This record gives sequence, structure tokens and C-alpha cells, in this order.
Amino acid sequence: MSRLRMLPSSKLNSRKISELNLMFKVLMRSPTGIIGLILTISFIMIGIIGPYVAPYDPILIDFSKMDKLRLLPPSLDHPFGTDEFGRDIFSRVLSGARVSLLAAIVVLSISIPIGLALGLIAGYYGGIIDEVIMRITDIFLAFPGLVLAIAFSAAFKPGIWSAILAVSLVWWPSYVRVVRAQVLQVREALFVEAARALGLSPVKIMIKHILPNVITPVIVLATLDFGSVIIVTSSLSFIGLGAQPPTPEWGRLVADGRAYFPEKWWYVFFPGLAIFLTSLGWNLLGDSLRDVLDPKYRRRLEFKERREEK
Amino acid sequence: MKPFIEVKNLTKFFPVKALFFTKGWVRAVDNVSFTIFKGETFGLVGESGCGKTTLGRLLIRLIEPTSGTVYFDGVNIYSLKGKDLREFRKRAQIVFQDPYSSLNPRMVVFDIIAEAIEATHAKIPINIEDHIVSLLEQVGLSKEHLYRYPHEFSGGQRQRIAIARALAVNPEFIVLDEPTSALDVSVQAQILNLLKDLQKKYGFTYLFISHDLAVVKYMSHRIAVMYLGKIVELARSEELFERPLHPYTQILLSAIPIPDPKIVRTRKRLKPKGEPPSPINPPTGCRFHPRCPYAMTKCRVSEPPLVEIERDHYVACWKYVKG
Amino acid sequence: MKENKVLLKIEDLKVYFNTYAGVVKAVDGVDLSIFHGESFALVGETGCGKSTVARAILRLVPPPGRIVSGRIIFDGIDLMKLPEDKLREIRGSMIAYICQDPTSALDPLFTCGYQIAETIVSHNSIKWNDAWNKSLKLLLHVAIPEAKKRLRNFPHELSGGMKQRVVISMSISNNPKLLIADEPTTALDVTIQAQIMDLIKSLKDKYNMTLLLITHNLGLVAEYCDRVAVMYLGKIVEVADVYELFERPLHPYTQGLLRAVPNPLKKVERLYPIAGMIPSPINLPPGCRFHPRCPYVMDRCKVSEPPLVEIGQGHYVACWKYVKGEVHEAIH
Repeated sequence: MSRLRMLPSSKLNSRKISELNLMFKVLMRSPTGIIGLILTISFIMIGIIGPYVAPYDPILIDFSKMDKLRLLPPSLDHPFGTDEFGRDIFSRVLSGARVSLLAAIVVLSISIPIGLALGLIAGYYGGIIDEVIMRITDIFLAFPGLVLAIAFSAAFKPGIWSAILAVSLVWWPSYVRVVRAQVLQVREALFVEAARALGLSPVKIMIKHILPNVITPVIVLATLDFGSVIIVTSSLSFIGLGAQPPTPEWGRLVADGRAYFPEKWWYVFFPGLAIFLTSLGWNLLGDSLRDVLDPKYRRRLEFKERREEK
Repeated sequence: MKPFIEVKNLTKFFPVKALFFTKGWVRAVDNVSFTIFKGETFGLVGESGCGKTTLGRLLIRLIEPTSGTVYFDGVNIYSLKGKDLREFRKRAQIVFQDPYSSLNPRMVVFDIIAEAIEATHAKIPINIEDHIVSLLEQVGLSKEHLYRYPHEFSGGQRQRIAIARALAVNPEFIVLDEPTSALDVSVQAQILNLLKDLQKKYGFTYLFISHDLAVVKYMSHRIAVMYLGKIVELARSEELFERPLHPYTQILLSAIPIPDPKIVRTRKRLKPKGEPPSPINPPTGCRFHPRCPYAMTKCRVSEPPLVEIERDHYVACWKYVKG
Repeated sequence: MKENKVLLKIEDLKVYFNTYAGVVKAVDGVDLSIFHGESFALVGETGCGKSTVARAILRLVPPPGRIVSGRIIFDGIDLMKLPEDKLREIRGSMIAYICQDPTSALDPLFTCGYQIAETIVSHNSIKWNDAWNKSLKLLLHVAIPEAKKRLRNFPHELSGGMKQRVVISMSISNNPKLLIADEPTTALDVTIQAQIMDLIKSLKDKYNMTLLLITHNLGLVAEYCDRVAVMYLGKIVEVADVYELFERPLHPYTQGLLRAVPNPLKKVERLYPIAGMIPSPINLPPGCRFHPRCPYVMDRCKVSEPPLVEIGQGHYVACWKYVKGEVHEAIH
């Protein structure tokens, strides 16, 4: 395809850019979408630069000052207070963002490609291939995600990577389901038959024709899942199967803070708030994405703008 | 005219599955044989379930047959592989019925047509954009349509794009599967005229599939009538309408709407008995016998062959076979 | 058989749709009279507004459409002024409606017998058992084979033609005066189509109903209807007796339609499509809506809309070609 693409790509790209522009505008019209976008972008930024801008070292314990600094309530010096070792909780929360971000990225980077591949193959070929793939998927889906994740986690050495691996193993089946359902619909479309009439190979058809038409619900699901993965990994850390000390993972922090609740409420509150706001942000964004990706809304906006121009 | 496409004993059965085992077979196309001549429009008519759509797809090897052969310019298309198969795909194309789903909604017109050229390894011209624009102009569209998405076009325009896609590979044979059924009357006339003009210009051979007899008559030189997977009558268009021999054809013709009140109100309506049967368990013997006003004992028992009763007029009916 | 009494009179009906792309004037000033006992056809292509007219009669226009103005007088009652509950009494009993797709008209979760009986019970104070028996009789009237078995069948167990028969039996169950059939056979095969249309005709004669047939199929009109109205982009462009319309079509659009349809009984060398495309219903052409595609367009056509005037006996056209000088009023 590359040799044919060379000439008019500029015109095609300008078309695609104007579509993206419209998508952004649709997003901007939804208040929850804007909130979601702000929260998620903040989360990603903090995840990237968090450890560098943290005012105090999140891991190091100063034994000399520990007695004076331990379990201090929120103040100007320590906005989120300090933990039992005198460490600044604000810094720990900022650093923890990176762990959650990493976890979500890895889990989805593993689940989505597997889900897409298996879903496409199962949906397109049908028959015995479909049966085999779906029954295996069903076995995984039969267990509640968290329970299965706990089981896998417990089988591995405790640690954040074990938790991430466990969650990945649990996560891919739902994508297979979603993708396959879409593929079954798209497969019947006449343009797929037209592609076959041109002699395109099944792989090419799956990638070029079916995939772009099934990707939308995957994108929405992935966005919503970002928040869910963070909650699941936090939960694993909370019960001790995920991040181990001294890693400042949010779930871990909440677990550690439990012992001092409710007198030293800030210990539990702020990491919990971080988990809450982050998953809320992804949820709101994912919800709005559903509308953004639906061409109807873009058309609506396009017409409205055209009318206002006149 | 020389024979271009020869269909011999073509059969396609679809399995009806219940869980894991096969409950029965849909005999979509059952032992069908006929010839299409170069440059002609061969019409294929019938009602739902008769197998015409399946037959159209078999002829360009969009689906594999259960048995039988199709000789395209002397070569059996079902034995082709690799490069030869790609060559065949260049020579035989298809235009589908539904203009709303035959174009990938995520691709612009340029991509849709460029893909056709690239997929069949047709000769790639130096300036691909100009080439595609000239294709669009042939079907009545223009340069400004190149970078639009299918949903920005009307049904008639989309069908023109589909035709341009078929033209892009320089075919000799085009299967037209109900190309105008989803379109309005005035648009239909435009598309039909376009198809006729293109045929005159490029010498295409068409297989024109439709349930609308009036349209088929207008477009076709010869017409085959199908019923439950079999061809029951085959004749030149004029001949078929003037002297329909098979009882099913007679019933069909007496039922088609005719835009002329003087004629249509005085014509005699022939009524078939009973309901259309299911293609899964077709009746024994002649498939039409349960609904045929002339059914004889022989019809219940054995299938009549398709024989040439008069010059170029074939019928599959015991009424016309002596002895 | 034709009485000169008017059963349904539509006056200046306007139905507009507020879409995101703008206001679609689906029906823009339609006047129509249907006489007792006749078969009246409303003909046009997609988007001309014929289905909307049918739905407007029963005030079943879905949002974002709304009836902007107009009177619909049925047997002396203005339907536009009726409160909803009174209108519901008329729907399904005095005015019956058959739509194009029988599959969507039937609830897949209930048996056919149940649905027919339900129609009867909702308009009559009658016991369920009696309604069930009446359903059986109705199925026999519509010539469904194995009627007793069909009562207990679910819609998906029936073929298209049979489903349409069930829908028809529901519609005649309360002896309607007016039967509105909106493309009743478009989804059916040719032979089944003929059977269904024959059935509708025979029921109409038997029960002395008036039929309003909405269709794009000129052949059906020629065979089954007494008078025809042709619609284009929300307006009626011609009304005539069926023989008159096919023999002497006056409006250029009607002429174009007839030339564009292949007649299987004649040797047709070429079809003559109507030039151009149907314009977007949001940006309507000024003046006569058909003028951009009309082979006889004059200056006047680009500026003002022609009124519907009576040219011959019972033959109405909305075209400047047939109007000499000024028009004082549109006769109807």
C-alpha cells in the first residue's frame, strides 16, 4: 500500500486532522468529559514527573528525626501529613502515581493485543477455532477478576510485578469478548465480501477492514479499564500481595494507614483520595469518549458550526 | 457469439447446524449448467431462496462450490491458485446490492478504489490520483469526491463508487447482484443507463441478478429463471415474456406489477397453490410440483431435465417432454 | 361503488423535523380528499413525505418531527383537535394502519393469536376467550393455511407473507373505515406481493373499507387504485384518476417517473431518468421544488411555487406550465 500512498497523503491527512479536531470539540462540550480529561492528564503528568518534583524523598527514612516527624497532621510543610516513619505522605503519593500508571499501561498493553488478536481470529473464522478460543476465555471469565488475580498473585513471589502479571492474566478475556462481538457484526458487511472478491487474504481483511471498524468499543473499554486496573492493583497491594514496602504504592499506603485510623486519618485519606480521583477521571473520560467516537455527534457539531458561520 | 463462461453441474449445499452436528442441507444451487456468451447480459431472476445470489457468488469464486465446475474463458476457476487466481480476480468483479454496506465506512473513496487496484496487482499508473479521478468521471462523479467518506454520499452515488471500484481493475465480466434494488426509481434508471453505456463502451459481459423482472428484461439479452436452486427456464428476454413455458415463469409473470392500468387490470392472474417451500427439504421430483396447477404423477417422482424445447429456449418441465 | 362523500380530508398539513442539520420540511402544505369506498394511492420516492402524511393522520409522527399546522378531518371529526385518549380509540378501530415491515409490527415475545386478541380486547368490551375465537376467524379470513396452528405460533416461526397476513388480520379486526397501508409489500417476493395485494383488495370490498395505499411502486398503483396523488419533496404535485394519470400525466415529475420505470410488456430501448438528484430536504430550491430537474423550466418556476389547480375533471396539477395568467385560488 505504501507505494500508492505517496502522492495524496497530505489531503487525506488534512481530512483526518479535521476529524480529530471535531472529536476534541465534542469532548469539550461535555462537562464530565472535561473533568475526566483534566484528572487523567494530571495523573499521567504526575506519574511521569512525580518522583522528581516530590519535596521529600519518598523512601528514605531519617532515623534521627523520626520521633519528631512521625505521624504529623497535614501542614504547610507536609500537605498530606507524615507516616509512622516520618516520611512525607505527599511525596509518597506523588511517587505512587508512577507505580499505578505503570501497572495500568503494562496490563493493558498485554491484554489489548491478545484480546484483539484472539477476538479477530475467533470472530472471523468461526467454527471450531471460535469454539476453542471462546471456551478458554469463558473459563477465565467464570472467576471474579479479583479472586483470580489473588490466586495468581499468591502463586508468584509477592511484589508489584507479580501483581501486574496476575492482573494481565485476568484482564485479557473481556477484550476477546468485546472484539469478537463486534467482529461478528462487521464480518457480515458487504464491504468485507467486496474485499474477499478482490482476493485479499484473511489477515489483510482482518487488519485493514475489520479492525478499524471494531476498534471503537475497545478504545472506550480501555479508557474505562485504566481506572479499574488501578483499583485492582491497589487492592492487591492492600492485602499485601502487590507492592511490597518500601514501594509507595497507593493501595499499600492505605493498608499501612489502617492501623492509625481514625486518629491519624490523613494517612488513609490522601492515598485513598488519589485512587478515587484517578479512577474517576478515567471513568468520566471513557464515558465521554463513547460520544466523541460516535460520528453522529461530530456531524451534529459540524452542521451547527456551519450554520453559525453563515 | 462465443461462449465465455461455461457452468457445468454447479452445486452448492450449505449445512444447517444444530450444535455440533448437521441437521440438514440447504440446497442453494443444485446441479446447474448453462453458458454465458461474451459481451451479453445474462439475467438471473427468482424469488428469495432460489439461489441466484449464491450462484452469482459462485461464478466469481467468492464461495467454493460443493461440486461442479465453472470454465472462465476455457479455464476452470476452481482450480486456480496464487498468481493465476489473482489474474482471474482482475477479469471478474462484482457490484453488490446494498450501497450502504458495500463500502468500508472508514475509508475514503480514494482508498477504496486504490485498494482494488493494488489488491489485484493491476497495472499501477504513474499518476494514481488522476487515474482514479478519471474512473470516477466515468461513473458520473468528480475530483471533489475523492477524499470523502461513504456516509457523505447518497445511495445512488455510493453505487457509482462501487461500480468505479469494479471498473478499476479492468474486468471483462461483472456480476451485478441486485445493483439497483435499494435505489429510488429515478436513480435506478440513471444507474441502469450507466451500466448499459459502460457495456457498450468496454464490451463487458454481465450477470444481472434481480428479483425485479421488468428491470431484468430491460437489461438482459437472455434470462434464466431459478426456483429452489434449479434453473427452470432459460430463453431470450423477448421470448421469455412473450411465451413463458414453465408454469412457475407464467405465474411469476402474471404477478409482476405493470405500470399500465388498462393492461394490468384485465390480465389473468395465475395463482400458485400453497406457500413457498423451505429450501432445506425441497419436494421430491420436480421442485415446483406442490404448487403447480399442471402437476402430474411423473412430476412428484422425478426431476425434469433442462431441455431445449425450441431454438434457444430451454425448459425443465415434464409438460414439454414427450415419452 | 364510489360515493361522493369525503371520508378523510387533509387541509394544509405541515410536518417539520428538527434535525441537527437543520429543519426538514417533510410535509409542507398538503391538501388531500379521500372519498368513501375508494382506493387512494399516495405515490412518491424516498423522502417525498408520503409515509409522514400517513403517520400524521394518526398523530404517530416520531420526534424530532412535529405537526406544525393543518387539519385532518375524518368522518367529520378534526383529528388534530382530539385528546390523546379519544384518538387512541380511533387508532386500530376506525382507522387501521399496516406498515412496511411485518416483522417489526409484531412483538416477538407473544404469539400471533395473543396479539390479534389483544387488538380486539383493547377496543371492545369482550371476554378474552371470545376474542381468541374471533382471532381464529380473522386468520381464516386472511386465508392463512393451518390457521389454528398459527394462533399459537410466534412471529419468527412465520414467513414474511404470513406475518403480513397476521398484521392485516389485526388491522381489520375492528372493522375499520379507513385502512392505511404503508408500503405493505415492499419487503415481500413478487408472487407473495400479488397475493397480499389481492387479499387487501378483497377485504376492502368485503368490509366496505376505504384504502389509502402508500407506495413507490407504480405497477401496484395501476392495478389496485382508483385515484392517485404524486408527492415530491413534501408537496403534492399531481392528483388524478388512475387511468388518466398513466395516460395523460401532466406534471413533469410524473412524466419523468413513468419514463424511468421499465415496462416489461413493451420493448424499451432506453430508460429516461430524471435529470439531477433529489435535493437535500434542508436546502430546498426556491420556487417550484422540481424546477432544477425540470425539462420545461421557465423563469416563473424559479421564483414562485405553483399552486395545485384543477385542470381537467378531477385532475389536479401544481405546475406553471398549465396556468395561464394569474391564479386566484387553488380549487380543490
